[in-house]
Amino acid sequence: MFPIKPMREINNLDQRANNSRQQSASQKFIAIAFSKIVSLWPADSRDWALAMQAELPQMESTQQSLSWLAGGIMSLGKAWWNGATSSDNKKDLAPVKKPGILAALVTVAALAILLIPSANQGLRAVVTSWQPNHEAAQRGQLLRIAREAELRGDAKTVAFVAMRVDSLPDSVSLSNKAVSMDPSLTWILSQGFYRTSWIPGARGWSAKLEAWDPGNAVAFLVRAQERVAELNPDLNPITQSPREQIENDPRWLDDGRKALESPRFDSYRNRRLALDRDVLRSLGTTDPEIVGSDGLRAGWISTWPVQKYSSQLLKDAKAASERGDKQTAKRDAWVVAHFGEIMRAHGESEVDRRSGISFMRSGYAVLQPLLAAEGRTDEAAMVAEELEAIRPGAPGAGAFTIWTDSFMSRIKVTGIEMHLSAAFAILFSSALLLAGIWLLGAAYSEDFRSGGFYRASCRIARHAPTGLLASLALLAATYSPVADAVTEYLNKPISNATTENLAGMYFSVSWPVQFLKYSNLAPYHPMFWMIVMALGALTILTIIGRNLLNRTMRLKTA
Amino acid sequence: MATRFGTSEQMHSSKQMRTSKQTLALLNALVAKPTQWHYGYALSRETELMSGTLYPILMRLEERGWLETQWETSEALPEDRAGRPPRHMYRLTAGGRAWATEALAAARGASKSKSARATLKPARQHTRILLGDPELERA
Repeated sequence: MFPIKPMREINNLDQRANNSRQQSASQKFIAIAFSKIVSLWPADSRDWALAMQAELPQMESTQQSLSWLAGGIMSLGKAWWNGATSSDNKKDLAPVKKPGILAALVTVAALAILLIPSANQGLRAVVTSWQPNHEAAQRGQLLRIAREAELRGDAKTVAFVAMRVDSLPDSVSLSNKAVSMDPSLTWILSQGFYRTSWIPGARGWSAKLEAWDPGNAVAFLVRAQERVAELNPDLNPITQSPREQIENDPRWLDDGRKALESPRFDSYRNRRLALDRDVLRSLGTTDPEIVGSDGLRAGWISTWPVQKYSSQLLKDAKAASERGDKQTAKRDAWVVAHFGEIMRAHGESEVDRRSGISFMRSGYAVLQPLLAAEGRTDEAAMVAEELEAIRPGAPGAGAFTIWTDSFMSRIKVTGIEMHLSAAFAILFSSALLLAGIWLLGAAYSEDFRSGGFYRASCRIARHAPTGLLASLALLAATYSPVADAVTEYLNKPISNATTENLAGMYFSVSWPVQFLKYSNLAPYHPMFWMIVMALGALTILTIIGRNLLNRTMRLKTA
Repeated sequence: MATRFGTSEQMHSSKQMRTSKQTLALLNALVAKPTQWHYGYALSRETELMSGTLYPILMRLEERGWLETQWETSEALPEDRAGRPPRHMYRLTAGGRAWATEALAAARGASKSKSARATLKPARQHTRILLGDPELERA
């Protein structure tokens, strides 16, 4: 007869079975991890790893096993260290291969790569971007340039710094200084106004702009931005302001109306780029973080009040059409479409032109049926043709090459390659330098000619030059488009493609660092992560390389 | 074999092993039953040393010829451990016993002279407990 167990005991058995299943899964994982430790242990003392492994079945709990595993990892580290540093190592019996003429030639070739501008500039630009306080350093450098320019009466350079410096009070004060030194630079007051409008020193800039360049819609757009700052004096108008409160403000909407009815639209983008290039050339800088950081921002003016006012106007036009007031409806639709035509014709950037096309599309869409209904068939057909030409996706409607997914992934991949190859170059050159110092010591003293460090130095001196050569060549190749974009921006006629390309290249240099900075890894120095990643990549490559080599040897032996 | 410090034999005799409190704790456990074979896990529990500390010390003792090591043979395994892998066992060599006794006596002497002067730090107190300091036992 089998004894019948009470239900509670059976349940308890189930629970224990569960626990034991969980335990066996974790024990299995620990056993696998320990096997890895054994395989990584130096061959001449592997018995000790096996000894530790043999104790694992004695552990009474997962926690004890984990603690034993941690001890195994620690002991493995110590065994590696002893293997590398111990002078009575058994490996000392094997002859060590010293670096020869080939290693010296490869080192010279690697250093010669630094003579190529793209490798040289690339290494400097990437390493500079790793400095954790390089924004503050850049700000300090820009302010020093502005002070020197002010002393020699160089208003253009003061304006250049005013438009680039990230400290807003400095930007406002330098803008005022530059305009007082040279009133023909008044247009700079419109640049970056979306970020400086709430700084007290920037009040009244729209009036100055309107007086200096009457008829330009931009002055009214700047004034609308001033209203936003007045409504929310303590907040950043772009990111923090309550949208509804602003859009219902009649004075703000009236600024939108005045901009919409202006005969001209000049965002001063080309003036800004010309000034930028002049000053950059005179400063002689090729750092992509300085050259490329401003290209896309140049001439960026928010048309938010015009968009809001025009949509209100088009709603009114539709209402007027419904009640039979075709004249008012046509006039309002024309005003919107006409502003779009002006923006498309005068706009100096792809953003302006696309914005203009969008206004045209909304105006024409209301106007076309009104003209057709009136029997003005020729005009209606022309407007319909125009609408077809500017429909989204049409060849004439313009398209951004930047910000597409493929463009952005290309930038990211280039950035990773660039930063990793620079990290590799630093890693190999540091190792080579240390090995060189040890081997120099070995040339003069017998004491340095044995032991793990001597063997490691010989090995590094034989292999690291190849790594250095490869990493510098990769850096030169990946940085080459950046160097080309910088040269093109500084020396050739400006096109949208030039600024977009430059901005893209600037992002490829800055993206990996920005990624590290804004992730949770921020407390650590970017260089730390770059070297960790390079070491990780090197380890993986070494493991793969050794496995391939072993397989080839096994095949040959077979 | 010639190294930058001399021959291996010279090194074995001339290089002194650092007798840290962990080493002393281990020596104490090994000296207590000098002829018996000890297992790593049992030593770890007895001395409260983590495996990452214990094994490097065992390795150094063996390297200097003070520790004898041996693998269990499968025939000698007790019934309840049948099918489990053989374990590594340790005991002090004759030279190791002499050196360990000397090192433990020196440590006892040092701890006695210090105890008259200052209050012991917890770690040292632990070592003295392990060494069986009569003063502490009295307290």
